[in-house]
Amino acid sequence: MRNDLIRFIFDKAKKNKNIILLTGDLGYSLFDEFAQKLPNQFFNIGISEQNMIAVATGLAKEKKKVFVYSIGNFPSLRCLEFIRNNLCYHNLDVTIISCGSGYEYGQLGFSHHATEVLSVIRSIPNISIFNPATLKELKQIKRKIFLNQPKFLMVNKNYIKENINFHTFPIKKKINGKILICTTGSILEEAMKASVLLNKKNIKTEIISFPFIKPLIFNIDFINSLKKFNYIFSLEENNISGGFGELFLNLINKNNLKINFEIIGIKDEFIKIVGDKNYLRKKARIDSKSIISYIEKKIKN
Amino acid sequence: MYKLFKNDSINNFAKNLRILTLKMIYHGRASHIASIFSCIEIISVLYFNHMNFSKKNYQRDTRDKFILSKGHAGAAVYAALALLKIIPIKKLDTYYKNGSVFSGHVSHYKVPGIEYSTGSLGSGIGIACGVALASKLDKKKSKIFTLVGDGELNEGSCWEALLFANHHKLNNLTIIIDRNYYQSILTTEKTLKLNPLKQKIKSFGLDVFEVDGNDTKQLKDCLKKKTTTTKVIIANTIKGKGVSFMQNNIKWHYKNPDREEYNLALKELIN
Repeated sequence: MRNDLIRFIFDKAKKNKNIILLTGDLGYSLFDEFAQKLPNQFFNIGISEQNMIAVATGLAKEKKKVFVYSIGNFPSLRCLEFIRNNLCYHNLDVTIISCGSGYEYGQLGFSHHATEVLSVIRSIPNISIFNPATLKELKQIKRKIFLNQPKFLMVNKNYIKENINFHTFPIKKKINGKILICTTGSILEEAMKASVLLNKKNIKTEIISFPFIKPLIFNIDFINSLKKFNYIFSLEENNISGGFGELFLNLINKNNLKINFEIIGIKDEFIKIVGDKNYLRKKARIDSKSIISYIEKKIKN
Repeated sequence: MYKLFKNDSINNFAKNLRILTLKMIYHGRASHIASIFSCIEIISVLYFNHMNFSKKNYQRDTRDKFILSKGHAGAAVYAALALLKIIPIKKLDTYYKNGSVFSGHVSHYKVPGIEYSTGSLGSGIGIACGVALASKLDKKKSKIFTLVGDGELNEGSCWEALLFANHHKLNNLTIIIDRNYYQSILTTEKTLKLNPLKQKIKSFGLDVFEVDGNDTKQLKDCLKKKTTTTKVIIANTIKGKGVSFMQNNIKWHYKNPDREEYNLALKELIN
């Protein structure tokens, strides 16, 4: 996914000298061709995320279309106020590419667990947030990354394979069923695994994936379609505080929907032991088995 | 209300800036007057004299660009733009007041002539680097200026940006440091030692000059010097410069003058 995105930006940059790509000294070998063929459009800023956002601000103010690359918490939490004051207040055309959402870089330790980024960035005005999981979702987003405004794009190295049918928001056709899982980003794969097992148990589960987190506009048809489900679960690889689930909860409250709703996400605590993505998802109880147990427990009650 | 000197010399421009900002600070019940007074000559030389920036061309892409990194001196820039007739002088009356666009820290929103909004210290040099890099890539003739407080240099982001400025040899960028030796609570040297500042910055590879930052002639001459990389001017200034009881007195970083203090200050500035 990540490589395709950079290739896409490179292809566009070849035709538009105003496209500039900055990295905070991450992405080994990822930018070799870009740097070699377009040396005036690629800059490794060094390990200085605040300065990277500041330089991006200045470039964008001079009508450059800037992409900024780094991983997880670095182009987000580390330089948060620079994003708020410089990119967002001035509403500039800068796309922050944050590689490695949630526990993607799990074994590297707590510093690399990007488990609050979505909540934190979501609270800043003017910035759009994209969190694609699949090849198709990235394609949808490619159309939007040339909008003239700040954007935050969460990507991972690999795509999630579409093993089963699911819907991508905004959805066009009508859906109904007993259980609905609304999810965002690569945790989609756990929802799909859970859905396969639940369907085997005759618990029909629908999934909607949300590659666009902000702005998120729910039309009346979608809101009505939610009413048809007995249970709705939101799923995210992010801290529950301020995350995707709470965004959904707002929607339910605002529209006075009488829906049995539960948020599945990371609890408000750090995981201090080592583990890869799959291991840490289990520890955080956001893996497929945990999802199934949440759902079964809810149905029993 | 706005009885000012004739704007026909740099020194009168500076005098008017002090009078205007004193009025703004007093009527707005605002703070930071001493930080504003220390950099009045710097702002005056840039806007009155040195920069290719005027009512005629301030919207043109070829203009020189100024970024106030020490955003708390915003009143000085608003007042300079009023003296250049880019914004109506009457509008300065709304400074710091409810419903106004003239916030304490400089903001560009609906204020023509303000390039960037700042307020949180440490962002201006990096932004100026981005603007300077873009100008170089586009082979524009614009020159970029940023004014940084000396206390502001506590922020690591300033030093990140200095590394960058040198690495990319941004010789279209001038960084002016308002070296008034005071920050929020104590002197810079008692808070987080900056000296030897010149050597520090020089060691980054930049072209560093030191001038009396309240002397318009020294500033003018220094700004004219050509350099191969980013120019850094350490402008030695006096915090609160222009009003005897405000000079080098840290309380005027925050304090708003009462009626008596205001009248005394105004008297000193007019005479």
